[in-house]
Parts: sequence; structure tokens; C-alpha cells
Amino acid sequence: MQWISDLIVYRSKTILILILLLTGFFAYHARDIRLDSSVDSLLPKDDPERGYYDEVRHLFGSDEIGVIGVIADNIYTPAVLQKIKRLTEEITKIPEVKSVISLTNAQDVITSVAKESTLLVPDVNATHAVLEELKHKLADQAIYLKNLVSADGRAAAINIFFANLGDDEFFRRGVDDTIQALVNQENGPEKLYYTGLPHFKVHSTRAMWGDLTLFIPLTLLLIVVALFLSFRSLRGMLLPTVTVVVSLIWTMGIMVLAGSRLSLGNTALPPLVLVLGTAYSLHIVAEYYELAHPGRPVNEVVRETLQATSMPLFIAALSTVMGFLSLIVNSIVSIRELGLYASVGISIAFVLSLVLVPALLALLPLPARREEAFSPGISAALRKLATLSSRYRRTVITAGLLIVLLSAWQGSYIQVGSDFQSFFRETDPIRQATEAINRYLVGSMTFYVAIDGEERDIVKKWDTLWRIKNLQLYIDSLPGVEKTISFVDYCELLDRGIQEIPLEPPVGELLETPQPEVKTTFWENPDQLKGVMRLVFLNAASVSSVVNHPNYSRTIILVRTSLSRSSDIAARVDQIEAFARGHFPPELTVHPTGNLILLTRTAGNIVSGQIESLALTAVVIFILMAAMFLSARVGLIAMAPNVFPLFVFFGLMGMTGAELNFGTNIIASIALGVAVDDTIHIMMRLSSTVRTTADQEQALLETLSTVGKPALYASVVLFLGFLTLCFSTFVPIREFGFLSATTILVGLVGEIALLPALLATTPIITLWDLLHVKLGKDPHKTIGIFTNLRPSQAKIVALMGELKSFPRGHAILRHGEVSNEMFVIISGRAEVRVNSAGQSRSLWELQRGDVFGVTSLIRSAEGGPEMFADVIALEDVEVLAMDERFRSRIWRYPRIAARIFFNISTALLDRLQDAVQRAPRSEKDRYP
Amino acid sequence: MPQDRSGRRLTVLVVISGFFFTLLSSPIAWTELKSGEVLSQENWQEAKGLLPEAVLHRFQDGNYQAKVITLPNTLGWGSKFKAASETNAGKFSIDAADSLTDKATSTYPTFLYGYPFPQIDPNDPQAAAKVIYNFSYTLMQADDADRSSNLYWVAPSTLERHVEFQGQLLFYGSRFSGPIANLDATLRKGLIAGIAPQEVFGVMTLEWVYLDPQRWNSLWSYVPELRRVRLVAAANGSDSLFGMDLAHDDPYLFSGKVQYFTWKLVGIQEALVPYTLPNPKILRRADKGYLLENHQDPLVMGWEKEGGKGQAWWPTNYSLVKRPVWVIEATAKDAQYAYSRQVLWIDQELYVAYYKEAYDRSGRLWRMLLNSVSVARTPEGDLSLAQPDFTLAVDEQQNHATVELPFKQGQPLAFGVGLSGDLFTTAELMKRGK
Repeated sequence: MQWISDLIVYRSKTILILILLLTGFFAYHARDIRLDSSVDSLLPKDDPERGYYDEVRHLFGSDEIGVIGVIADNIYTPAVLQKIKRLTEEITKIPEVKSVISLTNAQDVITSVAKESTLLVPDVNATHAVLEELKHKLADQAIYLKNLVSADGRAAAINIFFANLGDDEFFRRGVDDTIQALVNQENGPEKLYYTGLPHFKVHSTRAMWGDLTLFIPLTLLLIVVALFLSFRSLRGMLLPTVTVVVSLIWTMGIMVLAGSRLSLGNTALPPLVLVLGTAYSLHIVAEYYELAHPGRPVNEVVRETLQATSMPLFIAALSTVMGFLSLIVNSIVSIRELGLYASVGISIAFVLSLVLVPALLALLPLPARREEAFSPGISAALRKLATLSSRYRRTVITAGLLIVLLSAWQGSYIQVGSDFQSFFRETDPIRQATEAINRYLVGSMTFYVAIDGEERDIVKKWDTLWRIKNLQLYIDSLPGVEKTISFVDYCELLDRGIQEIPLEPPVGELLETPQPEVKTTFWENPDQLKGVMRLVFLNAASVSSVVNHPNYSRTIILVRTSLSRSSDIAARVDQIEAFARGHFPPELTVHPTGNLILLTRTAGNIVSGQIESLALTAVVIFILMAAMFLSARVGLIAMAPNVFPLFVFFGLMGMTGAELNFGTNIIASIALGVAVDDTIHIMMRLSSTVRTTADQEQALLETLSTVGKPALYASVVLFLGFLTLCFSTFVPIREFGFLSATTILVGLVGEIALLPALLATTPIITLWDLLHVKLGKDPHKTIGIFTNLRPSQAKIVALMGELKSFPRGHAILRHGEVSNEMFVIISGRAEVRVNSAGQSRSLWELQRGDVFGVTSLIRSAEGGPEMFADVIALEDVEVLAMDERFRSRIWRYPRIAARIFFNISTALLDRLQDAVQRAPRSEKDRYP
Repeated sequence: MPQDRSGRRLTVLVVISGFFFTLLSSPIAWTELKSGEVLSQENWQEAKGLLPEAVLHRFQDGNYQAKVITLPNTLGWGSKFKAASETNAGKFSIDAADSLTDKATSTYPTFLYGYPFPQIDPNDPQAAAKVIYNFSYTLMQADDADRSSNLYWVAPSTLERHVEFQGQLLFYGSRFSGPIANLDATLRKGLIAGIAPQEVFGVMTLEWVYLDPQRWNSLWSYVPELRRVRLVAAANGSDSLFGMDLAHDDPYLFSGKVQYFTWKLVGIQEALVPYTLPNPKILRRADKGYLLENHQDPLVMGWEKEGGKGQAWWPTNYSLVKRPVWVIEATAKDAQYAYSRQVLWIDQELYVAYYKEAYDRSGRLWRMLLNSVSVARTPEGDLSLAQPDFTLAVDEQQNHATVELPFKQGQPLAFGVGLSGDLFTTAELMKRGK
């Protein structure tokens, strides 16, 4: 990996030009990033229910209706009716509008059949008496009530049906703006409200743009401020900022090239990439300041910075990416895309932090002052905190446990739901419009109950119609259902029209047969149905939205409801399905469907998605940590400060009543991925620090005062970054921002308070350290003191000591010096020489596995014995030196320590026996 | 350095990719379609520019295929129609409202046989309107017609439903045997009776189309359940008929009022147009008038063939022939008209319409209509007429179609049978509907 550092440092200009070119390329594409306001992105992908809904929508038309509510003291006045007529006519002229139905253009079906084709309101300037009569007539025809006019005559609706354009085209053509302008123009003194799913989507798109144009600069500003406060230097402030901006440009460019869009579920992506990406370059800059002693060569400082940070950053980025990638198991499209592109963005930010930041630093002179000088207070505070945590570890751990228990209890009150209407605040105009129309007229939310049969003309049968009628009556009786419309309603109107044909024909018309004396309905007299069905067939265009002409095998009931909470909708769906099971034969299936119902299903997916992604993230991170620190126990300890904020997060949700929805659903996975970053930085630094000191507490203090600072800065950046989302127009995004920011803060407390308490007595070694130790082939077989240890255990022993190298001819030990170290030859040869009578002579040769200085280790506590001979390297020699610190450190691994000391004892015993056999011997035979 | 090698590899890769990209993006010179070849998914590119895009896509997708043929005889109208057309030269014009005007009277012609505009200059700003008037008068060559109409609702793979009507037409403003008394000043009168199934049986409609372009058609209907004849309110010509993929103005591809649209010539070109053999067809003399019988080798529709690969609404034994066409565009003056734009492909010599692309109000292609017209002539060659033998309307947005096939086994179409004006009254409507 050395060559990569060299490449970055020595080819920095080339690298910067390359990055500039790539940034230009991605920026060119990123300009075309699009917003997808459709609810499709909030629905599960490849869901058969969604496929079914698409089929129904294709057959019967979209359930996405625009509604204009006209609220007045009395709708039945010429002025108000003229206004409704004007609006109806003007909206009808809009090419993208398929049809408009209001009080002023709706057909009077009964009169049209019975007498002549006429409108409900043939003349908007009619007299008061005529309008009063109309009011009574409408009160008698339930199908018009609520759909077109309220029962009390104070509100009227203009229902707008659109051509099937697609959300983008609808937005691009400005259809919604035109309607809104017409509504604004006609507003007052009557109150006019405009709502419906198409308007909702356009409103959402605008709000998303508004959010993005606010979030990105605001997040950047907060990052810049946080970085300035952290480093108080221009480079400390600018380099991470440039890195995350470039990362965001690349990410957006890749999204465009992959054909993806920002949607309701992933609007938070840009600020997320900005805040999370900052952490990596922040650690690089912090390390650079640590190493940038005045007078040192710039390239050396940058290379060392890279060497020190690349591995922890890689692990940290990997864990965060894993956290986000776990969202890919979520079935909701926008959440999956959020997981995917956040992973891409973080990976880019990680790579650029290791390439762009060092390349820029390599071109800059070293700073005049070191970072340490800027924030001594923070270092001292962190040191103090670590001391307290370590000292009162039991208290800290107990407090942590209590908080976890309390949070778990509160977490049990979490509510799951997706309330489409509550995306916006109560003061938002669209929310107010929706609520007004729900209150005065009819539910602005709709769904279909489809009735499917295989047999042609089954819907025309009296028996089927009777079942549909009963189902419709049942649905009407359900709480929250405001209105239903079905094929049966239309048949009843036609039937009534036939029955009301007058005895005498109108002037100029011919009447074939007289009107029957007794008026009946087709319910009472099924024979009448034949005539009704003939009229249906001849007016097929009027029924195509409720029955599949010409097959008549499928039909729908349109349900208008004021409900929007997923749990409420789910309950109604269950009730409808249960009723249908008891009242419909097998050849007819009843299937509620619609966007509203699909969104309800999303709520179920939220819980399963949450559990799946959280479990996946936790398992992956645990495996990563356990592998990294070579111990399942350490893996568990590392998980503790990361799981802690999750408990607090869920507890907060339960306490505040915030819902687990498509926005808050992803926080836990993100928080876990993010929090683990700091754990990795702290633990990796601790593992290297602890090898230079025997005192675990001391190592912890040192670790927190160094790496704890960038962790603190990063958490502050993340906290502020997430807090910006609280300015979102969308309630779920705001909740996401608040809860994420809080969780990050709690995570920080876990890192700087709980983790030191947990690590106070736990020895750690990283896999990376272990991989770096080279003990040659089969150390457990070729080096005596490693006998009966595994190679990895031998490496742990080596890490507890110190590997030292001596060039050929250099002295490893000198006669007369006091040594407190025992040595094991790992490679090379050395000889033991003594000076006798002014002459140096070789006593014997040492090679791989030979041990010398054993007494020094054992008597090191007394200051160590004086050496009687020289030990000189005959060639390049590497030795493992073990001193008093080794003696104490090795006991963190009791089994290994026992084995090592047993092996040393065995070696001593062997030598003792050897000495006894050789005795009496001269002085020269003593061990050095 | 390894990076240098990677850089070289990258350059080589880019050059190779560029070569292949250039190769792939180069236009390929497709061979011209020859008579006898079958146009299909394998060679659809050869018909580029010769078919409307929506039709071509169906060939590309493998849903349509048709044999390219050359007609054995020169197609042309009967001698009387030709002669009348020649004498019409210079007699008619089109006014500012796109209404046909007799130059001699400065008003609409009360009788006109033949093309009103036998010569049309493509550079004439009114060329498109003249083309559509020639088309309209091409359809009124006989005195009357008594014919059946079989309408089919077709899904991509199945036939959904079928209805049968009997239609009678009496021409007043243009007829083979010359003018007759025309007290109601109509161009033509039409009566349609529902035959089958039960839903349409007994249903009757009567329509009078007036000579005066400003006067809206009169339409009466009789429905047994309503027990009376009723004057139906002036309908929007783009309204769908019985929930079909055909609108009121769609029969023959255009049956609307010319002056309700703004006409524009899009171009003149060669096109592959549908024809069924034999062509021209012979009108057989009967006791009264002439009969046109279905050929012994009739069209076999996709829905009739088990396991067929193509769309159910496409004939399995269909032919295309290369013909010169006018491509004209009609834009509705009425904003409520459901077709914002209609593009018609009309024969340059015969003035029969082959294709119509109908766009919805938002500008998206809605329906693709196709009309296969037979030229029918008496053995003497004096009387001729244009008889559609297959009309297809595909809803491109819903992927659904309506097919009209006038012929039915043993049910010839009759022309010039001497229908009386007394048949086309409201009294007769009720009498026949009972």
C-alpha cells in the first residue's frame, strides 16, 4: 500500500487534474437530477398487489382525482353556480384534463332517460324557487351528494380527471399551476380549496426542491462553521468541505447516469452524503495536524497521515456502507435507493478523503501551528471524562443499562404508520384544503374495491348486483368511509329513469306504449334488468370507469374516505375482505386496491424492513468488529456503545409519539453505521497506544485526547447536519432530522463515556496489527518459547513485546550494561562474545528460536542484572524483546501468558540441567 | 509504472469501444421491399417512412405481418365518376371557413358528383382541405347502400364481443343516377338498426346530414325500453360509439364536418397501404341494383386462428401495396373535441383514406386507425364505389382495438337498390324498432 501513498503524494497534481475532470463529467450529468414525487417510490417493488392495482387502473382509469371544493353559505345561488360553471368550463379547456364533473355539467341521468337529455343544472341563472327544487331533487339522489354537493348545500365539488400523462409530464406542462391560477382567480368571497393526489404530487415536488435548495447550502454552512470551530484554520475548514461537495456531485452524477431520481423517501440523501462524508476528511485533517510538527518535510507528514488513518477510515467507511447497504433488503424502492446511493456517496467521500485531501495537503506548506494548540480545552475535557468513566466504570455501565431498560420500555409504545396526509404540517395549504374538503364534502382519499369474475356478463346478473349492493352498503357503514360509487348506483339511476317515463309523450315525440301503472325496481322485478342493461350497453362510455365493458366480468366500487392513517385503512380493508368472504361465491373475488392501500401495506413492510436491515447491520458490524479485534467478546463490547443510542432512539420515539414511518424507519440502521465509525477510530488507536504503555487507563486517556477530538468534531458535524433536516417541509423528514441528530448525540455520549468504561480492563489487538507481525514460517514449531501456541497466539505474544532489528555487526547487548529485557531471535544469527585478557572471543552462536537474557526479564523489577558478555549480530537480526511491561501486558491473555511462562521455565530447566551436566565449568559457561 | 500500463489499456479500450460504437451507429442501407415479400419482425426496417410509426412498431414487435403485393390491375373509378370529376374542374372553391362553395352560386353545392377538385396543387394553401373534400365525395358514388356492419371488440389475444348492425344509406347531394327531390336539403340520410346480440336488437338510429355546412346533423334514436323515438342532442363527433375504440367521426376514417377543422398538408409520399385481393372487385347486377359479395378467400382474423403469434385484431392473410399518398393534418377548432390532431394518409389518385393517427387533447397518440378499401366496379365500368372491407381502430394507450368487417358469409352488400326517402323518417324508425 506504500506505493499508493507515494502516488498520491508525489503525483498530486496529476491526481487533482484527474479528479477535476471527473468532477466536471459528473457535474455535467448531475445537472439533470430529477425529482420523483410519485408515491410509487414509497411502494414495494415487484409487489403483486402493485401489479394488480396497475391492472385495475389500466382498466378503469386512475383513482387520482383533482378536487376543487367551493365553500359558501349557500351553493344554490346564481353567483356561486356561475362561478362553478366558469371554473368547470375553463378547466375543461386544459388539454391535459380528460374530463371535469361538477354540479353545472353533470347529467341528470333519471330525467335524461325518462324525458330528455338534460343537465342537473340546466340554467345557472335559474330562480330561487327552481334552485330550491334542485336542492330537494339532489337530496333525493344520493349518488350526487358529497360527490358534487354537500347535503347542507354549503359546499360543492369540481372533480377533475386527468389524461394519463405520468407525473413528470404533468409537472412539466404546468397543468397544476393552471388550475391553481384559475382557483386563485375565482377565490372569494366563497372559499375555494384545491386538493387531490395529482396536486399533492406537484406540491411535494416543489417542496422537495425547496428543501434541497435549503438543505444543501444550510448543511454546507453548518459544516463550514463546525470545521472552523474545530480546526480554526482555512485548510481545516476548506479541505473537508471541498471533498464532500465533490463527493455529492459525483453521487448525483452517478444517480443520473443510472437513471435514478430523488424521491419523497430519499430527499435526505444530499445532506446525508455531506455530513457523513465530512467525517472521513475530518479525521485525515485532524491526524495531519497531529503529525505536522514544524520543520518536518510535507510529503513525509502526508504519507504518515495516510498510513495512520487509511485503515481505521477504511473499516469505518466499510461499516457505514454496510449499514446503508442493509437498507437494500427493504422492499420500498426509495429506501433501497437511499441505501444504495448513500453507500455510493460514502464510498466516494472515503476515497476522495484519502486521495483528494492528501493530494491538496501535499501541495501546501506545513501549518505554522499544530492543531493541538487550538483545542487544549477539549483534550483536557475528554481526558477528564475518560478518567471518570474508567474510574467509575461500574456506575457508568449500570447507568447505561438503566437507560437501555427505560428506553426499551418506552420503545414498546412505538406506533407504526404511514399517514400520507401528515407528510405536511397542519398549517400547509394543501393539508388545510384536504381537511376542508374532507369536512364539508367527501373524503379526498380514494381507493377501489374490485370485484372480479371469470365469466363474461357475470356483473350483469341480478344475483351479482345484489351482492355488490350489499357490499357497498356494508362499506358505507364503516367509520371513515364518506361515500361509495358503484356500477349498481348507475343501474339504479337508469332503472328509475325508465320507470319515470311519463304517460304522455313530450310534444313532437312519439310514444309507443303507455307507462305501466305500477312502478317497481329491478330488485323487486328482475325482468326489468334486461332493459337497464341495454341502456348500459348503449351508454357504455358512461360506465367504463366502473365496469369492464364489453366483457362485464369485472367491476369496482370507488370508495372515498377521510381516513389516511395506515392502521385505519388496514382495518377497513380487513373488514371488507372478511365481509366478502362470507357473502361472495368463489367465482367472484373481492379485492380492495389503490395507492392508499398499497401505502398501508408499506407500513407492514416498514416493520419487517426495520427488523431485517437492523439485524443485518448489527450482525455485519459485529462480525466486522469481532474479526477486527480478534475476539467475540471485544466485538460485543464494541457493539455496546453503538446499540446504546438505538435503544435511546426507539425509547424517544415511544416517548414522543413519533411514528415509525418510511422516514424514521432508516434512522436506526444509519445511526448504527455512523456510530460504529467512532468506535473503530477509538479502538484502533487504543490498540496501538496500549502497546506502548502497560497502563490500559493511561492508553485510554491518550486515545481519547487524540482520536476523541475528531470523533467529537465529526459528531458535531453530523448532529448539526441532521438538524438542518428539521427545516424540511415534510413532516417525516423533519422527524428523521430531529431523531437522527438526537441519536448521533446519544451515540457520542456512548463513545466517550460508555466505551471507556467498557474498555477500561479489556485488552485489544487488531487484526491489522496481527497481520503486520512477521515471525517467519511456523513460529510455534521453530521458536521454542512459542511451543504449543497457535501462530496467531505467537503473534499476540510478539505484539505484547517489541520486535527490534539490528544490522550486521551491531551489538544487541553490551558487556557491563544493565538490561531488563529478554530476547528471542526471530531471524538472523548472532554470537555471544566475552572479553578476556583484553581479547574478545566467541563463546557460541545464537540463531532463530534461541533465547537470551531470561534473567533480565525475571529480575527486571529489581532493575535487571549487569551483562557479562556482548551479543553481536552476525547478520541482520530481528529479535523479540520482552521486558517488565511485557510481563504485565501478556497477562491480559492468561492462557497465552501461562503457556509462555511455562515455555520459559522449560527453557530455564533445560539450561539448568545442561549446566549441571557440564559442571564444574568455568565462568565462561554462564549464560549471558 | 503499473499506472502507465493501466492508462494505455484504458486508451486502447476507449479506441476499440469507439470503433464498435461508430460501427453500430452507422446507418444500414436496407434493401427495398419487393412484391411477394412478407413484411414482418425480420425486415420491418424496410418499411421505415412508408407506414405510420405506430403501425411500423407493431411490425417491429412481431405483432403484425403482411405480404407486399403489386395490384394486378390499374385502379380507378368508374367512367361516370371520372367524367364528372373532369367537368368539375374550376367550378368549386373553398371559402375562408373551409366550406365547399359552388363558384356559380357562391354557396354550398346542392348536388356534386365526382371530385370537386380533380387537380390539386400541393403548393396550394388549401390543398389539404381540397383533398378531404375529394375524399368525402369519393364515398358517395352509388345512389344508396344497404349493408351490414359487424363490429368486434378485441383484446390483444382474444375476441371480446361482437355486435351486428344493418345500415342503409341514401345519398342526395351526390349520386350516380343524378339529383332527386331533396326537400330536407340533406347530403345524405342514414339508418342503422341493431341486429345482434340482444343488447342492440331493436335499437335504431336515424341521421340526416345536411347540405348546409353550418347546420348540425339531426340524430334520432329508438330504444325499445324508452318506448319512443327521441331526438338526440348534438353529439361531439369525437364521442365513442357504444364504448368502442371508434368515434362518431371515425367511420371511413373521417366522417366529420370538414369546416370544423383546420387543415394542413403535411406532405406527399409513397406509402405501404392495405388492400385485400382481388381488387378491383366486381359489382354483380341483381334484381334491384348491384351486389358485392365477399370473396371466397376472405380475411382470416387473428382471433380466428388458434395459437397465432400476432395480435388478435390483425388479419393473418393481409396485403400491403405501395401507393402515393397525401398526408394531411386536421386540427379541431373546438377545444372540447377529443382528438386534438388527426393525421390522415389519403391516396393521391383514388382519394381513399388508409391510415389515421388520432392524438388526444394532451397531444399523445391515442388511436391508430387503418382502413382497407376495395375499389368496386360494375362489369360495364360505369358505376364504381369505394367499399371499406376492413377497418381497424387501435387504442394505443389501452392496447385494445375495434374491428369492423362489413362482410359476413352469405350476406352480400347491396348498392343502388332504389331505397326510398320514406324509409328515413322517425315514424319508420319506430315501426322497424318494434
